[in-house]
Parts: sequence; C-alpha cells; structure tokens
Amino acid sequence: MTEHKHTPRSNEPEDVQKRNFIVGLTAAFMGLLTFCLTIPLVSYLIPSNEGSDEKFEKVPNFPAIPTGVPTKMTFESIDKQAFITNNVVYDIWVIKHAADKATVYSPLCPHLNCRYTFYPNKEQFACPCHGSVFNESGKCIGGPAPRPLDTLPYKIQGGELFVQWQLYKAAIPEKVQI
Amino acid sequence: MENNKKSIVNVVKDWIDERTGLIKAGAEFLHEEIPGGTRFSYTLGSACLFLLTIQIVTGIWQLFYYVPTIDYAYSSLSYLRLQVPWGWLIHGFHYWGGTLFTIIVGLHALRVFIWGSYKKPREMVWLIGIVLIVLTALFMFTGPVLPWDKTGYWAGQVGIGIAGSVPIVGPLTEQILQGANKMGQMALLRIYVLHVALLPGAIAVFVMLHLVAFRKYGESGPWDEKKRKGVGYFWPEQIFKDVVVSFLIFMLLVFLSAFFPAPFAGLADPMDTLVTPKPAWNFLFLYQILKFLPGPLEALGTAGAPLFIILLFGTLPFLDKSPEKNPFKRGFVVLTGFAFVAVILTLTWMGYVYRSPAELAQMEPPYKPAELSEMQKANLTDKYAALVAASSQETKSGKELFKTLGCTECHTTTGVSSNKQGPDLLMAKTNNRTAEWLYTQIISPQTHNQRTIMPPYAHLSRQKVWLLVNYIQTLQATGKIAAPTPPPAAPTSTTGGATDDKAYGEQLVNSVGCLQCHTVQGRVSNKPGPDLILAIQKDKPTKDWLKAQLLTPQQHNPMSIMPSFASRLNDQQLNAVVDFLDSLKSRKVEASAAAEAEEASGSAETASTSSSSIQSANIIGDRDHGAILFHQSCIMCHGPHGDNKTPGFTAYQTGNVAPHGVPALNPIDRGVYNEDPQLFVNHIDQFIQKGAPNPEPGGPAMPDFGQSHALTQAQIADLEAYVLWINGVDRTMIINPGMEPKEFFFMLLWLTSVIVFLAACYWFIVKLLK
Repeated sequence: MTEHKHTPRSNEPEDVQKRNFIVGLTAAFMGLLTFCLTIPLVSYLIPSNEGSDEKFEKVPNFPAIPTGVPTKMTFESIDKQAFITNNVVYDIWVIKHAADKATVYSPLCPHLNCRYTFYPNKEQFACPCHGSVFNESGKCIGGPAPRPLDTLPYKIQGGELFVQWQLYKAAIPEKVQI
Repeated sequence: MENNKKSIVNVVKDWIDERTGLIKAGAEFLHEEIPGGTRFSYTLGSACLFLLTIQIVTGIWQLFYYVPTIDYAYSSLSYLRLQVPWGWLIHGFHYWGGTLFTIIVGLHALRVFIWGSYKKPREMVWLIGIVLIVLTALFMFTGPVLPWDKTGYWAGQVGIGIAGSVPIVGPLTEQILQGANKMGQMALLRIYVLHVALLPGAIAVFVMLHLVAFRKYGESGPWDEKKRKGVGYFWPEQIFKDVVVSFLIFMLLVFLSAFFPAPFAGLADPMDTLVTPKPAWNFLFLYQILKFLPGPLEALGTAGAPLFIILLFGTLPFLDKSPEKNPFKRGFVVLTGFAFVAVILTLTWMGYVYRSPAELAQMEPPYKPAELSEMQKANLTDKYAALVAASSQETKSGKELFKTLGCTECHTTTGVSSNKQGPDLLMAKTNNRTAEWLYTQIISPQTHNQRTIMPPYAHLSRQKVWLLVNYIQTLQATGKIAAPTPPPAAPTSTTGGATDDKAYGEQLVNSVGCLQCHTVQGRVSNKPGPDLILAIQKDKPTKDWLKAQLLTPQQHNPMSIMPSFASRLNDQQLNAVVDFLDSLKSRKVEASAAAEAEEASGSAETASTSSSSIQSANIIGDRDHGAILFHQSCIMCHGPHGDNKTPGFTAYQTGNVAPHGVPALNPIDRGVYNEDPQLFVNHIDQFIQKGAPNPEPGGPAMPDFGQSHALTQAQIADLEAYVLWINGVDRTMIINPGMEPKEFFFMLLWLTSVIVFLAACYWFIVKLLK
C-alpha cells in the first residue's frame, strides 16, 4: 500500500531488547484496558433478578364458578420489567372445592411452559406441545412432564379469590420459583 | 539444511494469507515507516480512532436498554444509569466521550494544520477530514436529543429551528428532521435513526477512506531537514505511543464518569418556561453569532457561518499552495489559523455565560414590600409624585391607559359588582390600598397572591404604571359607589322566602367574585381560599360567624387575604349569601362521590397503578430546577427552604408566624421520609398530585398540583428531587453500580502505577546488569 522504500530494521541485541520491552509494555497497557472494559461490558448485560414480589390480585367471579369443575379464569395485574410497566392479563386454572377452598394451577405446563387445556369429556388436562397429560389433582399421568402441575399461592377472603402470579423453572422435577 | 517444520501459527497464517492476502496486508500496515522517527505529536489521529471505537461500543451497549419513545426515553436511560451494573460507566463514557472526541478531533486538525500536512500530495486526506468534522458535529447535534431531557429537547428544538431558517433548503430540512409539524415522537425517531445508523455508517466509510488516503503517502514528518534523518516504525514504537495516549484518555474518561457524572436534567417539558434553551457546547459559537444577526440577517448566520467555515477549511490546500511546511515560514497562514481558533473559543465562551432576561429574573429575589424601609417608602412616594407631575411625556392619561392596556377586560370601575373576573376597582376602595401596593399589584400580582389569574404587567414603563395607580386612587377618592341592585321581590311564604334567599345568595356567590378564590364542589382545589362545602361542613360555623367573615375576615384570621365585602353587598345581600352558605352544611356532595367513582374505575390519574410511564414518581427530576419551582410554587406555605419555622404564605410577606397545619418539609415527617429514594418519592407524590385538606382550621389546603395540571408531571418530578435533596436523599443515587465509580477509578490508578513501576524496575535492572 505505501510507496516507501523498506528500510531494514536494526537487529542489534540492544535494539531488539528495547523493541521487545516496548512490545511488552504495550501489551501490558492493552491488557489492562481490555480487562477494565470487558468486565463492565459483560456485567452490564446480565439482568438482575428483580421482583418476584407480585401482589395477591383479586380474581373476579370466583363465587359464580361451578364447584368441582376445572375452570379457566383470568385476572388483571401489573407487569413491571426494568422501567416498563404494563397492564397484563394472567390466566389460571381454578378448581373450586368449597366457598373457602380451591386449587389454583399455573396455566404453564411444567415440561416446557406451553399452555395446556382441560378436556371435560376425558376429565383430563392435556398439553398440545409434547403430549403431557394430567388428572384433576395435577398428577402427570402421561407424557414427558417431570412434575405435577404447579399450584399458585392463593387466599380466599370474604368469599373472593386472590392469587399471586408466579413462574417456575421448566423441565426439572423440583418446583423452583424463577 | 532447511528446516521444514513450521509452527502451527505459521501454518494457519499461511493458509489465511493464501486465500485472502490479509496477513501480508497486515504486515505492510504494521511496517509503516515514519520519516524522522515516531512522535507523540502524531498520536492524535489514533486517539480519534480510539475514541470513535469507544463511542461505537458504548453506543451499541446502550441500545440494549434505551427506548426511543418520548414516554420511555428518559426513564429507560435513568434505569440504565442507576440500576444496570456498570451502567454509569457505559453512559459516562459515551457522554464524556462525545465531548472529548470533538476536542481531540479539533486538536488533531490543528496539529495537521501546523505541520502543513494538508499540502500536496495530501490534500485528499485533509478534505476527507473536513467531512469527518462535519459528521462529528452532526453526532453532537443528534446525540443529546435522545435522552429527551430538558437540555436535549431544547437543543434539538433550537437546532432544528436553526436548520429550518436556512434559505431555500431550510423548510424541507426542518420537515424531514421533525417528521411532523412539530417537535415530538417522530422527530425523536428520526434523530435516533440518524445517530445510531446513518451517521455511524457514514463516519465508518469516511474514516476508512481517510486512512487509505493517509497511507498512500504516510506521515509527512518534521519540516526541518535535519530531523528527517532517521526512520521510525509504526510497530511497535508509534503504536506504543498511541496506546499510551489512548490509555490516558481512557483514564480521563473513567475519572470524568466517576467524579463528574452527566447531570439529570429532568424530563423534557415544553410547558416549562423556566428553562433557557441552549445547544450543545460545541454549537455555542454559532448560537452566539446568531445573537449579532437579528431579523433578516439571521440567514447569514445559520447558513452563512457554517458554509464560510467549511469553505475556508476546504479551500486551504488550494489557497496555500507553496510547498513550504515550516510553520515559522508560513506566518500569515498559521496566525490566521490561530486567530480563527481564538474567535471560535471566544464566541463559545460568550455563548456559555449568556443569561437570558428570563433567567436573570428567576435569579432575583421576589419583590417583598414588607422589607421596604420607611425611607424607601417615602422615596417611592416622592418619585411617584414626580413621575405623575412629569406626565407630559406620556400623551395618554391614566384613564385612557386603563382602557387601552386591557384592564377593562377583567375590571369595571362603576362601583357596581360585575361578573367579570376581577373586582370592580371602585368598590375595592374599601381595601384601602397604598400606592406602593397598587404598583406592585400591577407589575407583579403574584407577589401578593401566588395563584391570582391577573397577569403581570411588568413590561410597562414605570411612568405608565404610576399613571394607572394615580387613576385608580383618584377614582376611588372621588367616585361614588352605586347602590347595589335590589333583590327580586320576596315571595309570601316563609319557606319560599328562605329558598329564594338561598337561591339569590347562590347567585351572588357566583357573581360578586367569591369563585375567584373559593370553589363550591366538595373537593380540594388549587385556589387560594378553601372549598366552601368542605370548610362549612367541617367547621359548621354559625350564621353570625359567616356574616362576620364576609364583613371583616381579618377579625377571624389576621393573616387572611380575603377582602371585605362590606362595600360590595348590602345587608340583605349579605344575609342571602349567609343563608346560602349555611345551606351548604346539609348539601350532599355528589360531586365528590362522582370524583371518587372516577378515581376507582379510571385509575389513570393515580401514580401507583398507572400504565402510562409519564408519571412524576417514575421520573428522576432535576433538583436544581426543582429549587426554582419550589421558590415559585411552594414557599408561600412551606417557607423558603421548606422549613416550617420560617414564615409562609402571606405571612412570608408580613413577617408573621407560619400558617397553621402546614407541615415542615425540612426535615420532613419521619412517616413520609425514607432513605430509599423511590419509596420516599412515592410517599410525597400523592400529596402533590391530589392535594390534601388542612387539618387545622383557617390554614391553607394543599392544592392538587398534579390533577389540576397546575404543574406538569415533569415539574413535579423536579420538585420531588429537590424535596428529597433537602432531606439528604439523592434521587440520582446509583442503586446497582457494579463497582462504585470512585473505587473503580482508584483501582485503575493503582493498577497503572503498578505496571509503570514494574516496567521502571525492569528497565533499571537491565541497565544495571550491563
């Protein structure tokens, strides 16, 4: 690229030693620079695990649902991610046993988090993704799901149902909150 | 004997080189020869490249969090800076990097200019360099707008306005930049695309062209033949010098990011008139030039100045054609260059220190008539008399001015109450105002009553104002107050009479000016007087008390600014009003029920569950701006520093004790205080948004600044930052630093010293062993 003549470099041991020293020092500064920049650049990308401090939200119409039948219910909540707050609708499966007792399932299959559905003709929950099947008690009776359906924390106060939305890690036998 | 064994590294290198030629090209690149040896003065170019790389990397890294919408730009950036680990560093590098890049580019251009390296055959490198300077300026124009904070918004607005005033291409440029008929979301998106895609692409291309053109002939080297004897090499000596300089720049960036973080200028707020729009610092010279070119000459500045500068730079290699490179033999050219730099620096400084008249007015303390000494009062009276006597200069009389200046829009002078906004000025004579009071009322009514809707007439000359004062005083001295309008015929039945009187009383309340200061709705308002339903239902005053309040309010509360209605209402009217007010004790407050229902269902106004992110509690405000707003909106009740011990409200002017029931803000109640800035803000936000009734009778209620839009959300955020600050809590506290900024800087300093020390020891030992 250049049009210079190539002046040969001196190979005197002193000059070589000086050159090597400078190379070493350059490498040291570059190394420190890289170190001081890489750690921040990588740490910056790792998200913090803020907020699984979800509140118990009211699920409307609990007194109106039939007893003993798994019913899909929805409730509104606020989803906060970093600086963005969104109104969000969550869905859950609820089996009302009595006016003050219920089972609340997360709608996400514990295998890989697809949403499953209840089939009243078979009285079973079935997941469309990989064929997991669960009975009304949440026990996995077929398919690859590693654990039973995840229940969500709930309260019944004054006849109304309140549920706390939570996420659990998929594909492992233990129920671990994310 | 040939050694056929090659190391793996060489095998790979040869394989790549055979197929791309990259290894040889790299070797050529590193082998650049520099006539006269390597020098630190040649490092500025690679310092530019280093800073550009920093800008690109930190810029891209910020894209992981930055959202280019007007409702999330500011909060996403605040999140990045305070809650993402090392976010302070990434943002700080980018913020200071922009400024340093501009400065280093300038120094690099200056160095090249002094060395005469723009001369043949290197003209192309110089010309491409000019393009790079223009691109740098465009980066500095688009970048600061992206945070959508007060400084950025106005810099963008002013900049686009300047671009729009360029003849011929201006209006189209303005339309394309704004993407709409005003500055807003579309403008932000376009400026964003410019800053993160178009400009980086352009500068990458031109940087490569710049380097290619540069490498054709290389560094021009020393102008002194004696110093051109030897040859230096790019690798490793010049690269070593480049790395040292780049490393020092890196340390400077860390230092600036840690000790001088970018300010939080508060969310952009076009409704806030307390901000002086100024462009980014590198455009201040242009901003200053425009001040010298008013009216039709403006185009000379907006188009002429940049064009002139670019032409000056661009034609330099063709105007200065002599091959002489020694600056001491090119005195005229070099001195012209220095003069140019001096002019730019001076204009920049002038632009920086400029304060607009509005800004100067903000800095002045408010006019406080209570503090005038007797002598000053006497002086004013003398001057007033003298000015009135010298009214031959003013051709209009006070009476004519009253008509022509717009006073009649709100005031009558007939002695009969009207349904205009302001009081009838003849009836107001019972207030017995002095000439000085009237003077202040005309030029700054807000001094007497912060929430008056009377606009200040501060622009009038003193003479005009004194003429008006004289007119009002003459009117009040000589005018007769007409008899008040008779009430409608009283019906025969007593119950009917009561109803009629109440209805008449309500009519009067609506027409004689009560509603200027009171509301009758059952909710707290931001008017100076209490809501009458709330007050009367709470205190249940007797009719006698109500009548006395109308006749002499000061008898119940010496600090009250409520005027007497003794002269505006006759006895029957007073009784009617009292009857009406008394009936409010049993009035059902449908209005407040409706308001509650609206709050329950809508919930759009409350700060806690809103989905819109432009809520003050989510915005990190500017505490310095908050101090100014506090001075304007809060001190009359809370005192100058929010300290309840100092006088507030009208007491602030008369020097009496603080009004009842107003809580101190400094130090604030411990139930509200919280060392977590977000929790602290959440506590006080509800008061500023919705207001609050005064727990003690007679004291002023807290107005609902948010709901009534008396203050914007951005302004409330600034106020909150200030209130936190005076309580020792920093709204801009870094929550997730990764590593504390100052700690990081000192660690860096220590590691650098260790390297330098070890290198010195090694060198010394080597010398010793010789």
